[in-house]
Amino acid sequence: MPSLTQWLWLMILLILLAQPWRTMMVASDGDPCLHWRVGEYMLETRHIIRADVFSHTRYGQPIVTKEWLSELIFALAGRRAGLYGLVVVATLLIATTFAMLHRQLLRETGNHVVAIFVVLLAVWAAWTHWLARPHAFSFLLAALWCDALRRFERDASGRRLGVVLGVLTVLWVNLHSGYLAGFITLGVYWLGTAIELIRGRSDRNRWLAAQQKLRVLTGVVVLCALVSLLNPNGYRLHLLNFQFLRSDYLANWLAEYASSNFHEIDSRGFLVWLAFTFLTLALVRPRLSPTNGLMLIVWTYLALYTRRNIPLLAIFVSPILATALADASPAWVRRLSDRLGETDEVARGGLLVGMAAVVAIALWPRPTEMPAMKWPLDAVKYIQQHPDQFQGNMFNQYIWGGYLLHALPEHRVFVDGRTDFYGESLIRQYDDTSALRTNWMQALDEYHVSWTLLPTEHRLNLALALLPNWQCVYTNEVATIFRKQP
Amino acid sequence: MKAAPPHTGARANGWLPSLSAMIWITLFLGLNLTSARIVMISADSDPALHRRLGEWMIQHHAIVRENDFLHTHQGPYLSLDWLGEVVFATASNWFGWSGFVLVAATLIATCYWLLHRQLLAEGCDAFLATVLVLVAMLAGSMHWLARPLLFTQLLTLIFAAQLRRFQKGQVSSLKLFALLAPLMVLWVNLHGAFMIGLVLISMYAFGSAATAWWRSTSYTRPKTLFTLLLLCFGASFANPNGWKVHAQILNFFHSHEVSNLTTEFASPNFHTVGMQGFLLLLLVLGVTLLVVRPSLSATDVLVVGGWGCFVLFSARNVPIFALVVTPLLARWLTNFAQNERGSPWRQRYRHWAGQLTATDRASGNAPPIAAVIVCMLLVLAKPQIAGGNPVITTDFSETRYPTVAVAHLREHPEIVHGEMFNSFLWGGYLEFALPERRAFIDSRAEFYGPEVLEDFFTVNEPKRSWESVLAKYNVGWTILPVQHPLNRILELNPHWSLVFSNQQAIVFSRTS
Repeated sequence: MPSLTQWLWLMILLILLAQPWRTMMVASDGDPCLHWRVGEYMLETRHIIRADVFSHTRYGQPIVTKEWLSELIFALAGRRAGLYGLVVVATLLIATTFAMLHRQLLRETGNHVVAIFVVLLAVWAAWTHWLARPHAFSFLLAALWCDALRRFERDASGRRLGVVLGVLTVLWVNLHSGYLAGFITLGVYWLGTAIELIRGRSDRNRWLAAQQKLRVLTGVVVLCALVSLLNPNGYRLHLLNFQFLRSDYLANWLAEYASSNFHEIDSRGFLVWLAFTFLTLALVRPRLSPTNGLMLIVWTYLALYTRRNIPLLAIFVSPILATALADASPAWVRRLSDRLGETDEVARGGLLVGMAAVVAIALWPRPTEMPAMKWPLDAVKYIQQHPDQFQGNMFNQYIWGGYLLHALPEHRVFVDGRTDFYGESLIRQYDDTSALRTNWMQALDEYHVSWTLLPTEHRLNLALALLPNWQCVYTNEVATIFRKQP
Repeated sequence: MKAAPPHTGARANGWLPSLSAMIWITLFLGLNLTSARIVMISADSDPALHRRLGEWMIQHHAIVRENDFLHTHQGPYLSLDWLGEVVFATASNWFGWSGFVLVAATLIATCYWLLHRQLLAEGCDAFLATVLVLVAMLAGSMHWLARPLLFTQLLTLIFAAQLRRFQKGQVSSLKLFALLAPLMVLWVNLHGAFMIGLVLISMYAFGSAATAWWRSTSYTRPKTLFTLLLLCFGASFANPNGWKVHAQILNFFHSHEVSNLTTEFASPNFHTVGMQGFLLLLLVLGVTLLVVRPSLSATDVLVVGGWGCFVLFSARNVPIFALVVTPLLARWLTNFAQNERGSPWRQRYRHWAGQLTATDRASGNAPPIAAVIVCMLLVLAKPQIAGGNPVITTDFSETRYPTVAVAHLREHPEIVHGEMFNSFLWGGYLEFALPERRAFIDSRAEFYGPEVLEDFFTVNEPKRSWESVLAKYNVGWTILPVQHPLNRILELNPHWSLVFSNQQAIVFSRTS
């Protein structure tokens, strides 16, 4: 029989491979297609992309690839199995992350009931951002990062911490820009240890231990900062990330950077997580170290600020809450845990679970497509069937950009999900046109736009329909195409 | 919680304002005399709507029962805030918008003054009480608007304090009933959020029932609280519309389209400056739970957890959260500070805070506040007393509202025909400033319901069928902010012509 961890891994895998999750993972926005296309380009050219080739608005401009390695991995999977391949990669990453988190909680608490309870809450909270995109690598790396730091808290082995975090940093800076989460966590550990140092002045042994830990952490911060430059763009990667984070406009404009809307069913898991955190603090009254207290506060704040941080909150804070809960668990919970532990110890189901996963991945009915109700599949076919009608530059819906890169590689888009690359000024221009502000024609003129591909209900279609030199050449329930008369 | 340190011989001076009085005076003067007064009336156009409704009731000596302010929806209207509106309108009849602000500033100042007094009365030292009230003020300031909801904030504070006193055995059941039941009658007539009082009583009732069950003690207190709940629920029917008020409120929360439209019912957006005070309060709460590790009763858990949950659903609950949680924070932090086993820092703090508290007790509350009120009334009443222009003028912001467009329309009523289409934010303002015209929409979403809302969105977006919606309501002209997308469509449409335009608003009129 498989162990609880193996069950958890298999269940997450099977659920995400099934419909509708599979489609949601690739079709919630256009970014999965975008990353696949960028990766595919790099595979075709056998070079890391250095200048934009996908848009007509920023064509040829230098590009900082933040996720080149994960884009290559997704593209390889896409070549092999289309969109389904992207789903498989993301699913394996997510299932492995939470299985590892479960192992970590078991190791730290020794309580099977608490470990599975907390990890299920973490899964519920985190599922809002389970998409087939490079950030799934950040989940796995965050779990490994957190585990390494918590091991260091227990055994103070500086060398192991340095090696593990150094390797993880090199991987992370090449896989996804979420590596900043690792640095934030490292900074919190440094600050927490500094507070311990100040508090431990009266106890020499405690003071010396804190001083030693602080020295190690300082060294690891420096080491990670240095190895983080081992990416194709060196320090420019960091500059780009900081520029993006400094732009309030972009942070407010992008839906995934918004705070959670608790009216939506997607946010229920996060709400339950917050309630769980509050109840643990209020009823269990754990005595947390400064580091753990800071981790709890900082990551809860970051998750409240931006909903895309919720999975990272669940990964970083689960061990803290699970430990507190395990220490306070009543006798009946411990007895149940012991019973589960006995079953778990004799569990030898790794092979069975592996085979089940391989069978599921290989034999599962594969068709995974962008749903025609939401994406302009028929409009794209029309464009492909009438190439002579679509010679000039396109103006497209932002969220469709990634899909169009992939589905219409012969055309360059106006904008896509690479918001940080396009920058605030172009996004503002796009927004002005899209919202029909007084200068709405400016972007269309400046970029010589000769046709538009927008959702049929888009307001810009109404304005174009009133202009004598624009003509509607295609429309269905999803998309409408307007073309400028020569 | 232990009582605050006794007097240390500080000499009483009734005219030297205490810290509570300073909070009151600072808030009162700050809100009345700075640009905050403009923000309070023009952050949205609800103040204008409430004033218009209140003035109508004063003029007609009757409660509004039929709506005639919108052309899209007419018929029976339930006034949820009629008494609040009459109070605000009465003040504006005396002093214009400055009178409106005067009522709001008085309510806000009294609310935080009372919170400070409550914390001191519950044993908190003057320094901690002041710091916590400042944090609560920062959190609550995101919703300091001149609207009847301010009555709710004050009444919440009174309800919560009485319930805490009852829990500690400082007030008898009879006194509790005698105070809260009449206050509930007042509340249900002042503002539609009277349910907050019922929710608070429920939290205390269920909390004390859980405690009684856990400790196997007497159920007398929970029984009293449940009786109080029933009594206040019964009292809440003492309003001009009876049970229909309750039904309307439940309908409002049941209809997601309607409640989602209202921004203040949305979840908090932590990117905004307005939420930084709430974040600070959450930080204080988090640090207190982590460092002080207070022992929470079941009621405390329900109050903090319940209101925390309500805040996450709706940002307009932030001030309520601040008002009910701050006294609990004060109790936990005071117990921590007064712990005899504490470090030398805590001993030094106790000594210093004790001296400050004694000095504060010797200072005055009523005389300085009364003096400020008299001065403010004299300033506002200057035109009535001495003639001439008012010293303080308060009006809608010209950069936010179509004041010039409205003046132009009043001068040239012939330039537009038929019914109006207006922006959601301007609805209340237009009903007040242009009473001879009826608006398409205002903020009373619970009144006109989802059908009108859907039609409004079709035009506001605008979507393909915008013209048929305008035809359905016989809309002949639009008044919209310059950057509104419909203006671009109308500019290009040969059936519409521009009749007014400035930096704030554009007015289009149908030509055919």
